[in-house]
Amino acid sequence: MNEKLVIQIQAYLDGELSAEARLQLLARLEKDSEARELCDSLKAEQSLLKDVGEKDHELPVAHSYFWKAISDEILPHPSPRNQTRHKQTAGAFQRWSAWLVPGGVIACIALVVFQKGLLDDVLDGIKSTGKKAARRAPSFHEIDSQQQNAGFISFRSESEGVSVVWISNY
Amino acid sequence: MSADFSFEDREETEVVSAAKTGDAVAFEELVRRHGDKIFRRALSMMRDENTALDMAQLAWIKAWNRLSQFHGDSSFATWMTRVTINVCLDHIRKAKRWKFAESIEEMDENLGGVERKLPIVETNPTEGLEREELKKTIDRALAQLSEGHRAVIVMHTFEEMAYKEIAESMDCSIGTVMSRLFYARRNLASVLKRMLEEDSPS
Repeated sequence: MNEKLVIQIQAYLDGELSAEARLQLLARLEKDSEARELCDSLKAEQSLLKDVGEKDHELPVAHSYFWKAISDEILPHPSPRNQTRHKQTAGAFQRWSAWLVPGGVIACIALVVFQKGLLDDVLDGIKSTGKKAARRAPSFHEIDSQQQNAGFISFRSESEGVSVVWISNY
Repeated sequence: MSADFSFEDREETEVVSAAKTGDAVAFEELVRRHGDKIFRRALSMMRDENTALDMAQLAWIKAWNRLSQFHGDSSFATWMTRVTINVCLDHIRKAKRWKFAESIEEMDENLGGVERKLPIVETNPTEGLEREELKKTIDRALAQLSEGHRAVIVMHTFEEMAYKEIAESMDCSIGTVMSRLFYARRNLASVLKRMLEEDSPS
């Protein structure tokens, strides 16, 4: 059997033969028993493969593992240089934040102490006698008089290291 | 990244569209849906589990980079399978492992005649075998073929690719595809027949 005929039979079974070539081949198969036998044989093999299909194979690894290998390649990730810079920034922040909490606590305590002293002075100033006021008067100077109309007067004594806020009730 | 992180219940076209915009979550959903099929195709081409795994991963990476080339002319699964087949063919080509006769004449010369080497297979040589058992036997027989022969059978029989498409993928003429396919089929028939004879209780 020549190559051309063998290939034609296969192409006919695969549906790849032109209409004209198909008619010619069918006429040949009518007369040629050997060609017909080969055609039947090929047809049986092709049907077998198509009908039975393939054996089912599943991914031998977990999806998460499989996806990680893919995502590592397709998703952008920081370059080594950026990673170093990121680590440096993170390290500096960690060092700085190590001081932040205790520093914050100290600042809060100082503020409370200062505010308490200031409040005591204010109260002392309100309740003070003329003598006390006279003693303090020379070293007092007005540092803010913008609030006079609103009934507030504040003083700061640098020598005594105190500030006084006078609240008027009229 | 998409605002909606779940694509499980979405239509395929919707997931593909999202993936084409660079949504990795959508792309992961495609990998989840078609991962087994793509691995199966890579395995049928390569026959080695580790190599098939590498080829499947490489195919997905290539698909991500070429998603803009998918226009929906076929299903995503079909397109993805073509990508996988081409990745496998490239691998085989690079390894220079094509081992088959290029023509019937060469086959005749090498084997002493097509008819003598490749006996006519009876109409139903597998009668009585269970479907799953038969699948396993065919799988074993395919494993015994060369990569080139297996590739052409997989592309034509299981992927239903036309001669022209196979020729483009394999970078050869349609005539070459026809003779390769014939030789591959006859080889497979021969291997199958031998296996069935060996397996049958005598």
